[in-house]
Amino acid sequence: MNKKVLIVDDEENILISLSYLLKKEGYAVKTAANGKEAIERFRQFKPEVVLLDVMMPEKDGFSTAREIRQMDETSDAHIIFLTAKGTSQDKLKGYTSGADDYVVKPFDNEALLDKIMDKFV
Amino acid sequence: MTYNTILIIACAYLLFTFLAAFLTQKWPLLQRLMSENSLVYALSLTVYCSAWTFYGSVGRAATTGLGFIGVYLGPTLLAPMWLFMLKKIIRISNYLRITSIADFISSRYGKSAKLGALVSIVCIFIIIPYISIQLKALEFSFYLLQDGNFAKGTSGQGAAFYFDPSIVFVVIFAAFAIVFGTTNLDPSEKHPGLVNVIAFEAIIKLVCFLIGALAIVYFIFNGIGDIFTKAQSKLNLNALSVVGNGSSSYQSWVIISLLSAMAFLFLPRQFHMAVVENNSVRHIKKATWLTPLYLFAISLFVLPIAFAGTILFDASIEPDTYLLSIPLQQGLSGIALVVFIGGLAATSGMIIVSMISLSIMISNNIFLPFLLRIKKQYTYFLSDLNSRLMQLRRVLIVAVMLLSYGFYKFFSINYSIVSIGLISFAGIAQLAPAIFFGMYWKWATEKGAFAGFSVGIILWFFTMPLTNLAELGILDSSLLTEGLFGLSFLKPTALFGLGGMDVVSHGTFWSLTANCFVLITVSLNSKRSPLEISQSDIFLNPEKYYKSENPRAYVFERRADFEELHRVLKAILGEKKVKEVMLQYYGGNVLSNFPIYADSGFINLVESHLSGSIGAASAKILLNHVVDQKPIDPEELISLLDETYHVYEYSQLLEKKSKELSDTTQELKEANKQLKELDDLKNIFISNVTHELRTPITSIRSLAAILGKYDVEEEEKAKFLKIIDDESERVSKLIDQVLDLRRMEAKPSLVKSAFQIDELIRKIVSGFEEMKHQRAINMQLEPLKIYTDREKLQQILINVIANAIKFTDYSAGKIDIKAFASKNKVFVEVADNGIGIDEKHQKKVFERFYQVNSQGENKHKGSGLGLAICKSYANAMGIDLKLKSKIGEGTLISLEI
Repeated sequence: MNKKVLIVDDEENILISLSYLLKKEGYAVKTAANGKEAIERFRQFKPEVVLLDVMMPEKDGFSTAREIRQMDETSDAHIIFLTAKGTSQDKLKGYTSGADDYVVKPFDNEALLDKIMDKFV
Repeated sequence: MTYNTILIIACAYLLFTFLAAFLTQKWPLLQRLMSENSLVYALSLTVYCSAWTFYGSVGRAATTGLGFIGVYLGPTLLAPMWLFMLKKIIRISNYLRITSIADFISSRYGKSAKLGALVSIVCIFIIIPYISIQLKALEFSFYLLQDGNFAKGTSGQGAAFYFDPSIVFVVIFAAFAIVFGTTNLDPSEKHPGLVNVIAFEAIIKLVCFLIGALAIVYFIFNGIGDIFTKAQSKLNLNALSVVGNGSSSYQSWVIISLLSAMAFLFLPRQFHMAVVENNSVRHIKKATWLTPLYLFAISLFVLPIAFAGTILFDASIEPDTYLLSIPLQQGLSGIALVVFIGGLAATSGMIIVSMISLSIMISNNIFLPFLLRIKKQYTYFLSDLNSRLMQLRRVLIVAVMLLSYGFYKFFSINYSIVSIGLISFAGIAQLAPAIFFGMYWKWATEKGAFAGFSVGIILWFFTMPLTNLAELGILDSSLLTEGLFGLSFLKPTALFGLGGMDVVSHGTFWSLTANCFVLITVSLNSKRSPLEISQSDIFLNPEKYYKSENPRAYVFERRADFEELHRVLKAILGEKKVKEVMLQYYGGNVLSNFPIYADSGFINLVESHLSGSIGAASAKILLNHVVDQKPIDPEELISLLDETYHVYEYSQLLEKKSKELSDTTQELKEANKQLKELDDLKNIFISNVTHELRTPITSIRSLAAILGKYDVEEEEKAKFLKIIDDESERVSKLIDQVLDLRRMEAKPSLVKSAFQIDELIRKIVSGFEEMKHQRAINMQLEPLKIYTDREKLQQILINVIANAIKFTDYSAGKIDIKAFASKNKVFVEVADNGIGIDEKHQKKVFERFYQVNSQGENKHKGSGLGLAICKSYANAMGIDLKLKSKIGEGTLISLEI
């Protein structure tokens, strides 16, 4: 069975490129355009890794992460923040809301793949 | 009307005012309300309008036409100057607790008992005839009303003493003055009950006068025009309605105005009302226009009434009585009664205040300084000064009243109101040089003031009252034709050969000129005593004193045995007040532990309290018994005062500087706060721009890597390249916007052209086809041609429409765009039904970097620059860009081109 990754971002183009990349690398991929959708997809899809954008309309990445963490059965999912905000305060906020890793946009595809791989090693 | 009816009505009126005064004095809240009211102050000054105004002005107008008006014109012209002159007098008087005009002059010239006594005595001689003429007017009006016989000289003559109404009024007035004028001694001579009555009577006077006047002008006659037409046939109207003709020559007009202006402030009753009873200098402002307005109102109908009288009567009727005799002749006895009550109000106010101010003046400036010098009297007074002083004043009030009554009965039957009034005015004007030089010329000395005033009064007496006596045949009339001792240059009406002037002008000219001249000459040739120096300093620069705590403390070095001083104080001020003063100066434990000696500061404080009760001169004499004063060299004193003045100036400067400093600090704080806000906005903006830059680059970089690493199918490849292209476009657009921001700093240059606004809008909207999804965009566009910068207008509209789309729901969004012409202008409105903007943000949306909600939860794409750029373009193009919005209901942006 393929390893499952959920990609959450409000930028359609990023969803396109990331899902293409991850599918090529052999992952099962689902996408969501906002926090609310992300939580729904998460329940059904139960991914091992979530790539989560921080700045999104309606519900931002931080609160989405906190909500995911509150769902017992999925507490071991790996959450990686993708963000265009690169300050250390943002990073700290990311980790305290339950992130496992943090990638600043624009990122190197290989580096991102490595971070996803970490979960499965 | 019978004697009894009139007397009862008059007494009822007086009782009513009595009660009104009593109530306002007893009811603290009302009292405070009244005493803090500048209206009451302004009205109380109209105690100036006595029987003279009520009857005399009409009489004078009948003989001299407009000549009567100088009496009102003088105070009116001077009124603007009250703002600083009266203010200065009040400031000085408050600081020194001045109790009367005599006290004021005595204080200035080294608390001179001599000068104070002289001024007081002269005031008695001037005011008593003045009061007596009021009694005459009152009695005359009474008899007129009683038997309705208005023919001259027949009324009330030979009535038995106890039927004489004057004596009844005299008793009532004296009782009034005693009850309201001699009840409190502390801390200064303020009598709120009295002031309220005077203000109340001011209204009664005016209303009664106007009722009488309107009845004559509009009921008996058909208006002012009717009177003037009818009068034309009977008298030489031209001579009476212009100034400077015949008996009302310019010169007499000017002199009367001048005298009135001075009398308005310096008559004892006027000084009492304007200065002693003043509760706040802020009240002056209203008085400067309201009091002249009052004077105008009460003199408005004087001339028509005078003409009416001349039409109706021959010379057998005294013109002074017209206001009463016209209604009586026409059978309007009710109107006549109203006029009589008004006259009673005018008379009673003048008499009562005059008596009170005279009694204060006589007791504080004649009796006390004299009595306190005698050791035996001094101890007698000390045993209970307060009540003895009050007793003295009561006796004085009765004495003044009796003197006035006696004077009236024996002498003044034959005088007209105005002639006595003008002579009084000219006498009071003799005080003016001592006052003005005292306040504005520091070299004026006690000797100078004394000599100037004496000479002025002697000349006044010689040229005016004496002339009158001679004219009336009481004195040998050869005085007038041949001069004093048969010397023709000593003729009282043509002194030193200066003839051709009327009596008042002539006398005023000589007496005031000599007064000033002597004052200046003697002052320049005499030295000021140390006390005069320090007192003149207060009169010249009162602001230096009343603002600071106690700068005089160190000018004179004085010392007193505390026990002894305490004993004196207790007798005068009373136990309670003394404790208060001691606590004020020494603080807490003084009561249990008396100091051995009282120091200069305490003695000064005590003296100022004493002055408020017994006058400056008396207080000085009293303290001399117990206080030792170290002699001081005048030179040293002057340099000390200069020093205190410099300290004062310096502290004023410091105060100003420190205010400036705190203002600057406040400005800096404001500026800093704004900078901080701007800084915050900039940070948010940079963070937003960074985000907006990183997002497309992320896609570009990631897709580029994908294209390089994998063998991507053709279809996918094309799609990726399109994305890369789009995202690159997005980056460059953003860069353009940031550059626009730079350009915003400078004024955008305009490239104007004529084009169709409807076409432009249609073109822009078609560009949003993809972005609008299912939003409905309705357009109502009139085909209008406008002339402006097309590029920039396009950019503004793109921004506005993009915002409308951005902030509406993509399925239920509705956007209305209208373009129409109205009032020579073209309007474009873009309305949406989106989320709206809440009020506190509405003003700020046009600011740079501003985004209503920058938090992730409500993030809408944008740099926060769009509307700011629009606004700056709109400003440059002269377009009025407005925004109306309600949260949850939508936003309307309108452009007025």
